[in-house]
Amino acid sequence: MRVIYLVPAGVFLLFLVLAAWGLYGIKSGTRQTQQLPSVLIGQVAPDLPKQPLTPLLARQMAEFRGQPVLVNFMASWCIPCRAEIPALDILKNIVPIIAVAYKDSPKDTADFLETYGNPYRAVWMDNDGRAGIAWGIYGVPETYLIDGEGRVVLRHAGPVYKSVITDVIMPALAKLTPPQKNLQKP
Amino acid sequence: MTKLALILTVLMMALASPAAAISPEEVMADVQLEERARAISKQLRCLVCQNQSIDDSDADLARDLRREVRLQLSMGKSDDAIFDHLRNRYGDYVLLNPPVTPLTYVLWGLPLGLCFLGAGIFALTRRPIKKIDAIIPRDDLAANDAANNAPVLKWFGLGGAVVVVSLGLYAVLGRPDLPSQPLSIRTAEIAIALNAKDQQNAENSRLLRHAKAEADGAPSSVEAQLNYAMHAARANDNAAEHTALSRALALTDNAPSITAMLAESMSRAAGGMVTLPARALIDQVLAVDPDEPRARYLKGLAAYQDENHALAISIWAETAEITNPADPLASVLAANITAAAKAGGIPLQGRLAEFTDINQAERINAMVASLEARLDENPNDIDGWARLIQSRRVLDNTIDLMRALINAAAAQPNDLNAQIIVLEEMLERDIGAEYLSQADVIINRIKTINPDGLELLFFAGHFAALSGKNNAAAEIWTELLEKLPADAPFKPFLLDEINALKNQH
Repeated sequence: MRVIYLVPAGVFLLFLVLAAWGLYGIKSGTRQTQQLPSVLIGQVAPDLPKQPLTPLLARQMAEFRGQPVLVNFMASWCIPCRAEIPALDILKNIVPIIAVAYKDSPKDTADFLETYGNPYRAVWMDNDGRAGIAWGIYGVPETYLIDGEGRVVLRHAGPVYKSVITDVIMPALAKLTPPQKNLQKP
Repeated sequence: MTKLALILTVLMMALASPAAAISPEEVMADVQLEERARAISKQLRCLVCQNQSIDDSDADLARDLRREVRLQLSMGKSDDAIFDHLRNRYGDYVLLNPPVTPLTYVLWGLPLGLCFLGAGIFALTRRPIKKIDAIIPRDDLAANDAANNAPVLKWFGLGGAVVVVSLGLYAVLGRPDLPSQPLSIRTAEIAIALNAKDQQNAENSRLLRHAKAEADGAPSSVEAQLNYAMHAARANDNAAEHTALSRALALTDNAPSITAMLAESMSRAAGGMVTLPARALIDQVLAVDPDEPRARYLKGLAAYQDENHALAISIWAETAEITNPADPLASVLAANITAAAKAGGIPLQGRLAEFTDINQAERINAMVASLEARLDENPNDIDGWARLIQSRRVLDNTIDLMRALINAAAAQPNDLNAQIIVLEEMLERDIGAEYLSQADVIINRIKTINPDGLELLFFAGHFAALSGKNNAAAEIWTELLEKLPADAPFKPFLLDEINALKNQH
């Protein structure tokens, strides 16, 4: 038998090894498959939309410069967004949260905040979804952590549950600033 | 039988191409831009779908991305700039054709590599297959093949039959969710639309040939060259348009308005981008005639394409101020100012907000009313009066037009033409009798301006007749008849009128 016949088998073996390596990576948690990485990581955060829900809630990201801030894309029509409000209620005591109401009407957003609670320091209306495109979002909810210099540090797609606070957001926050400086008592 | 199966397979694959998800209201008015938008959309991934392009997908995000692509195109961005714009937000994943980077060498190279590998293995293993060929007799092989293929062909045939029956049902009945649109009707509609487009194109090129012949026949007629340029623009023939406009420019010693047309034509040839040479021409025009509307419009467009929205708005707003509100350019300006305000996030205030109000008829009326109010305060603005009268003519309300004319004549009591226009309009509209007192005032003004003029006699006679003073009218016109030159073509008509007046008496 000539060596050439072994080539397909060899290629197949190589494929098996690569597949096993990839699967092991997922199982051990070194390979992230739940979330597509955002290209914005490390970049200056894109602009927020121009229209505030109410002038009272018209705070810009720059007003929080010097401390981290969360930008939370949400919508009243989005069911998982209701589920993340309790977790955001906890987070708001740790880091200010800015909401971008994605493709939503001001009235519906206001009703949503009335019904489910308002953990936000500012609410901006992205009526036509262009801010969503500028941030590269796939859908709502999506949450971005911005550092004190206005750069995107972390993107989390999907609702923020309490486990996401402890497993994802707090570790990222801890890397940014000494914890004692930012943690306040509720 | 094998052939039939092959044909059916190919047919099935050909018919499986997905329909585009784009809806009519998304389509851009500019055909070239729309074609580019479609081409770009086909190369962008719908991020929330399974391997569909945004052109194919009905998803909300896909629609938003399609709109974003068209918005960027309308701002004059290049295809590459649009791909980069989305790539900077969604990463390489948004591109259906991944870029060739060290990371994707394997991806792009693998098919080629596999082809070589296959060819190599095939080349090295040909001989053993030949050996087998020789051992088994050929006839047996063929019989074997036929026996093996029979059930396969049966299944292919059955599948094909199902497809053919479904297609037949679809063609006759239409889609289950759109029963009112069977394939036959839609095909007919598409054919009619295409046919109409073809006819329009044929008509356009026929007119273009005609205009070209005229322009070539009259090389010193500016009008013929401009007509040629217009038809060339309609037929999308940029080269011909350029030739015609260059000829017209040479004839008119670089008239600003034609230079501006050339700049517009160059921009159109560049897919709507105001190119650098076009900008140079525009500045040249504005240096000579700062109010040239086309050049001002393009100047604003250039600012808009540079994403200098505030400058674009201010240029367009100033242009709107000196544009007749009833002119089609006014509504284009209004739409553009709105678009620039939206793109730049600039709030519009006061008159601008009023100007860009969506309701065009109301907007024009409001503009005309405000022009009228300004003229009340400043009646010396002769251009303003001219614009007001022009607008009133377009709006075609007799009472408003007459009011504007009478006020304009009163504002310029020493302008003979302003007086004459009012009286002419009254006679033309056959309403002289309703405006006798105003006509008297105006005739008196004409008497002061030019007491010996023939106009005075002509109008005085007319209005005397209208107020029932037939005798006086006949006398006045007899005087006019004597003063008119012997060969005036108007004479016999006047004589008839005088006789009629005398007879009525």
